[in-house]
Amino acid sequence: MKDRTDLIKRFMTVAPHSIGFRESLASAHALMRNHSLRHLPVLDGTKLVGIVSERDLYLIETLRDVNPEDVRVEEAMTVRTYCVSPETSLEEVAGQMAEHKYGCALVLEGDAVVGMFTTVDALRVLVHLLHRVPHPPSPE
Amino acid sequence: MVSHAHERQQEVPIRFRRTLGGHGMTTEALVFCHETGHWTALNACRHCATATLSTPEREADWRLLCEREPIASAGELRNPLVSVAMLRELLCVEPKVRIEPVVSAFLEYDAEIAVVIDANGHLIGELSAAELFRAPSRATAEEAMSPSATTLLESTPALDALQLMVTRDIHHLPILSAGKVVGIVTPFAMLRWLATFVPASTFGRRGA
Repeated sequence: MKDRTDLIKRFMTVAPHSIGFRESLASAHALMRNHSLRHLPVLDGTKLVGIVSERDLYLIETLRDVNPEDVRVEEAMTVRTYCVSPETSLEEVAGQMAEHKYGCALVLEGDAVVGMFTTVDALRVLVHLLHRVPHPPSPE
Repeated sequence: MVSHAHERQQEVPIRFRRTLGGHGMTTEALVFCHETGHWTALNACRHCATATLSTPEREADWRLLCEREPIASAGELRNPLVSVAMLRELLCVEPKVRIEPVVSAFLEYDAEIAVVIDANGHLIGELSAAELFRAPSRATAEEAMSPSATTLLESTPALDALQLMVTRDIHHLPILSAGKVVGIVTPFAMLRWLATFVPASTFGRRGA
């Protein structure tokens, strides 16, 4: 029988913070700062429409002469997101994040974001898992 | 292509240290020398009879093969050193450089962080995206940087670095060799390295 202990739903952050696409960059900054976040899923109602990172926000504020109170999150967000189902394996998600340099994976049930899994989450899990093997192998 | 490569030759990773100074950008390629056990300039490696270097136009295609046996102990081979996980690119900035060209370099090399170094190559601070993009464009690197709080030696075991990142929530770890910065490790860099060698069984797929 297949071992089901490695599914991403066991390791993700459940019900992550998110922001509406019409909200301002200043609101996104405040949310990130108050909750020590680096990524926010961007929603239209309950539907995922993009993701915005702390870096995206800094970038748009640098490249344009913008007032963070006036610019909407949708202008800074990335439409391309890495999304997986809760049944996706940890191995696959971590491998894809490493290969494509994704900062996080969004876990979706239908159109709804039910979880988020970041690079730092992946490292925390790996530290825990590596303690279960006697020696990690050499990279050679 | 490398021709007549000896069958004992092993590929040695190459990293690029780019330094932005008052006269523009300079690039130095660094390799891990199996003879000395330190990261060293590729130019020094060229003079070694055991090295075979191929440098096609694209830096990403550069290859170095070395015939020397690794000097690492058995323990180090089981627990590799942190420098194996370093990002391929290291962006360094001299203290008096203004922020504007640093932002351009940051974007050009898709950097996660830049380090500020003195004239001797010693680390004096770090510039994260937050510090960089918040700073006034006329500020200098040394005015915008934060002091480096935690660094590691190149001889630190990689898994010790991983534990440190996770338990202390550290996002950037500069790696030092003989007092100079030779690379940087980030959560992404660590994940990419782990993904290349951690067996699938570690993730719970035993025997899959």
